[in-house]
Parts: sequence; C-alpha cells; structure tokens
Amino acid sequence: MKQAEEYSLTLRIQQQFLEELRGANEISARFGLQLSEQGMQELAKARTQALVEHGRVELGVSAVRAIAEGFCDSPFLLQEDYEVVLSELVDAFYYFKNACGEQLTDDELIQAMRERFDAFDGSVEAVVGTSLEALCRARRLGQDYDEGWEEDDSYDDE
Amino acid sequence: MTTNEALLPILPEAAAAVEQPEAIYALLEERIRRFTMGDSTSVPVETARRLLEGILYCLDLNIRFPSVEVPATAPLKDRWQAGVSAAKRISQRAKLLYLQVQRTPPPLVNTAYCDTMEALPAFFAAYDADFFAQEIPCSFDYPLCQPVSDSLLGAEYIKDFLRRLLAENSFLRALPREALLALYERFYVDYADLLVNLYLPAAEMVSLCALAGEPVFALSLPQEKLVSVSRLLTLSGEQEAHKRMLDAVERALLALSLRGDFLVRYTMQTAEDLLVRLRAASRAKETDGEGS
Repeated sequence: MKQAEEYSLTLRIQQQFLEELRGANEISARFGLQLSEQGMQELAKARTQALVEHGRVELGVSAVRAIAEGFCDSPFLLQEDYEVVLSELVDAFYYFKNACGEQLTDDELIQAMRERFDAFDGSVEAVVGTSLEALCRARRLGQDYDEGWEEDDSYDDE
Repeated sequence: MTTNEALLPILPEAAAAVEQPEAIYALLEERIRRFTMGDSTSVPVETARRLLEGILYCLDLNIRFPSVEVPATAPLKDRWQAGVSAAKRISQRAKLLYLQVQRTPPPLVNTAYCDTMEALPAFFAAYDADFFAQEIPCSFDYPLCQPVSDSLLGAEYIKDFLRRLLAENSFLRALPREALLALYERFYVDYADLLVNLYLPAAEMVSLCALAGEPVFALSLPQEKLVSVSRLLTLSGEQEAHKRMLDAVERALLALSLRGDFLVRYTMQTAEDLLVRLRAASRAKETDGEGS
C-alpha cells in the first residue's frame, strides 16, 4: 500500500515535470526551439542527476522551465543543440546555486548565466567554465566580458 | 531517478511509516517555498532535511501535547500547525523560566554558569518554530547535575534545562554562601574556572550530613563521621541503604525548608546516584583487597 502510494507520487511528480516542459515548449516554439518527448525524458533524467550530484532538493515547480524560458530567445541557441545545451545549463544552474550560498535568486542566476552565454556567442563552456565571482561581478559592474573571463576549471573538477 | 527518490534518504523511516508520503511531500514543498520566499525552487539537501525534521518534530509535538481544536484525524497540515503553536508556547514558558532563573541566581556562580546565562537569550532571539522547531540555535556548556535527556529537542530541551537549573538554584539559595565557598574549595579547588556543576557537591554533602545526624547547613563532616556514614551505607542491604538515603534527603529538605515535587525528585535522584557510587567504590575496594 505504502509502496503503491510512493509510486503514484513519483509518477505524479514526473508527469508534473513533463507538463512544465511542455509549457516551456509552447514559449520556445516561438523562437524555433522545441524539446521532443524523448528530449524531455532525457532532460528529466539530467535534472535529477544534477540535483543529486549537487546535493539539492527541488519539489513542486522546477527551475528547468525558467531556465528554458530564460534562454530560448537567445540568438545563439539553435534547435540542433537545444536539448544538449539545456541539459548542460541545468547542471550548471544547480552548481551555481550551491556556489552562491543561496545569495542569488533563481531569476538573478539565470539572467547572469544568460548574459554570459550571449556575451560569448552562445558558448556553454563560457558559462560553466567561469567562476561564480566572475559571473556575478560581470553582471554587477557591466564589465567587459573579454577581460573578465578567465577559464576556471574548478567546475570541471567537481 | 526522480526528485522524490532523491528525497528518500532524508525521509526518516518512522515518519514514512506513519504519515502519507503525498501529504508530507506537499507540506515540505510548501515549507521550502515559504523558506525561500519564492526566490528559489530548490534548496540544499541539508536545508530540506532540517525543514523535514521540523515538520516531523511538530507533528510529534502535537501527539504529545494534543490540541483540543485539532483532532488526531485532522489533515496533516493542521496537525503540523498545531505542533508549531505548541512549540511556540513551550518557548514562551522557557523564556519565563529563564527570567525566573535570572532573578534567583545561586549564592556563588562560576564562569560556565555566567556564560550559559549570557548565551541563552540567543536561543529566544533565534528560535524559529515555523521552520526549525527541533533546533537549539545557541550553545552553552554549564553542566547540570542531572542532564536533560538527549531525546528532547528545540524549546523542550531549553525549558527542561531551565527547570533543572531553577531547581538547583533553589537548593543552593537555601545554603549559606560561606559554607558553599568552603565546600567548593575542598571539592573542586578552582570551582570558578572549571566546567563544574555547583549543585552536586552541595546536594551530596547535605545528604551525608543528614545521614550522620549533623546540621545540614554546615556542609561539612569530620572525617570519622564521613567514614562511618559511608560504612553504614555500604554495609547495609541495598534496599535498606536506599531507604536510609531517601529518608535523610527528606529530613535535609525539611531542614532547608525546601518543597516542590520536582526539586524533591531531583535531589533524591542525586542522592541515589551518590549511593550507587559509594557502594560501587566499596565493592571495588573489597575486590582489590581480595586480589592483593
């Protein structure tokens, strides 16, 4: 009985997450970007893995939809890379949430990541390879990205 | 793997066995949303664990201190909310106890006692029954003679600590300052700076004085009396020694004009502990004697 309840809860959570992604698809479709059903399943797995790896818990509404919506109008995001790039951004997002010690809201972080992404012509490496300090400093001071970006391999070592 | 599966390691088995996972999940989700004030959809596992422990603690509080308005069959959120209210009430009572302890200090204090009294207000300032009712957000180190049970959490722990401290202080206030000072200097040497309890030597000496038929206010016994009292306790049968000790405590408390069920029980427990130690020491001595 208990197992059945937990199973139905798990299913409900999965369904809720997929519904969120379908909602995000409606918006990103305007910019020529869409996740396939298979892509959504993959993204669900990537998100769970990122949460576990970065030691975070997310119940209810997920940040993934906000990330998708925050990046979908970027001129550097292309349909052929969309699913892979989104997975990497989701992983980076949860990494930075920990790194900032809860000092940045989801929206602030997504905006900072987006600015970095665009400033480096859609380079995910520029986003994930930067330090949080550089990410936030650039945002706060409107710093020139070419000067501010130094490869930070601390993320890669995680 | 789903988020729910990621959450499983932080969900205590006991709670999972009693409450509906769906209801716990929904309440935790709501608490996380409130905690982050909508700024973040996720929190570190450690924060989620603390929030979950807070929920489960409040549910348990509501079982132990049932609210008249909220029956056991009420929805989980109502029972949790009643538990939060209970935690807040306990915290209020603890605060009153703190003020009472502050008004009635023992005749002599030491550094650990003063530091603890200075540290406790931090608890009342930082205690957050809405999110982390199970936590004790301050640190203090004055050792009680009869420590608070580790099973108590949050405001319950602080309230019980203060209740015990108040009982110890009442006992010490019934004794002359000079006699206490002389006792501490004999017993601890540096009572002021050591991390020691002030009540223990006084309670033990009062019990021994009463057993010896000496005035309890003196807090001192000649060596020969001390030896004879110890022999009396160790040579008697266990039940008889126990009775003698408790009778002596009753006489002592009467002489000190001290009443109150809790204080009586507290002092009797201290005397019983002394009896156990004396008898164990005597047995060890006998064994050593046989061995050599």
